[in-house]
Amino acid sequence: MWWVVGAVIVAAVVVGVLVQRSRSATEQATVTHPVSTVGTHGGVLVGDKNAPVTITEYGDFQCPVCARLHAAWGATLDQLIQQGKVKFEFVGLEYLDQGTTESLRSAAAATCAADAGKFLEYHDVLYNQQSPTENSGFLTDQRLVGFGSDAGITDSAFTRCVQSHRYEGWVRKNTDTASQRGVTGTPTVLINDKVVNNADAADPGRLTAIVGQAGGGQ
Amino acid sequence: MRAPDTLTSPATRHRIPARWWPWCSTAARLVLAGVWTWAGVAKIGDPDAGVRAVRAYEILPETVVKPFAWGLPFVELALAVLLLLGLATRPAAWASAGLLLVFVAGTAAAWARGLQIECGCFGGGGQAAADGARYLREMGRDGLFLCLAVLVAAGAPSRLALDNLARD
Repeated sequence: MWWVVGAVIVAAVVVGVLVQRSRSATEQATVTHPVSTVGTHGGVLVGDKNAPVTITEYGDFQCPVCARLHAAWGATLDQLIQQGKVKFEFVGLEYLDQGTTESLRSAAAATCAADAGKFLEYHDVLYNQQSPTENSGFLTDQRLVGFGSDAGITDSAFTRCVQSHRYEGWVRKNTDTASQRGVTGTPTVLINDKVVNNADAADPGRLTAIVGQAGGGQ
Repeated sequence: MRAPDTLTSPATRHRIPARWWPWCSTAARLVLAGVWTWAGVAKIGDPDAGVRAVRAYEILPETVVKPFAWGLPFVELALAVLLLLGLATRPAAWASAGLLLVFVAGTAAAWARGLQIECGCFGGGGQAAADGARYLREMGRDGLFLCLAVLVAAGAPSRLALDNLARD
């Protein structure tokens, strides 16, 4: 009877690969690259391109710890970007979607905001107004468009970008690449491509010190 | 004449009567079928999350990650059907034991390396805080299922199985 089990297992693997590949949204995704600048991790890049230090955040707009990190480091990060010491790359992931699309659509909408030149403002609004519960249906397209107004976006192209889900394929590919790079959780913060402890990133003093050591001291 | 004494000794008095063993095997078979159904159904819904969960263990090379992640829920469901029907019961139970051993080893390897992952056993997974108690719980649970699988594989032939029709 071993041959029965062997044959069933082989058949199950073959059928599984064929069926799941056709069902995989990542495999089937059409990728549209953003108009705005993209960093080396595939995320939205903002700040002075000649800044000596790059801070990369792998984040999920539904992730509560990401919102807490944002509350802790937001002001310092903004200051470091404005001083030209830091350029900031944000890679929006859809790790927390559970058969839902709120992480996916919010990360795609944030890319639309980057095209409108208001990425940091939109990033602020999404984290500051995060729902206390994940996958609750809070992040509708309508709300994501409304957040655009809160971030000061007036261009109707933003609304069309959000409603057409233009960058969803791009977010799916970024999520897949992040997982291949060993990013298993959000937030994951890198300074000049080196992973930094979240507790250090959340402490303004330690963050500034690490940025200083990485070449952004002046 | 010591033989009659041993029959009533405390050690043998509480033993499960031999006629119950086939039914124990049937119960274990059905529980395992339920476990594999649950595991398979939970994983099948999101192929992308499955790939991420397998990748997070950092054990398999990238070329094998997708076939493993995508084939696994179908293999689990196939084992569930075989065990439910009692078809090729013993090999299906040994295959179950093998797969459960792979899971226990994967969890142990992740724990030993301090990886921050969820087991992904019943869908989802990929990210969570490293927590020794949780890893132990997962290994204990899989270990329990492993015992059931070995009981079916090596114990008495179970009742209410299609295999019995072929034997008659």
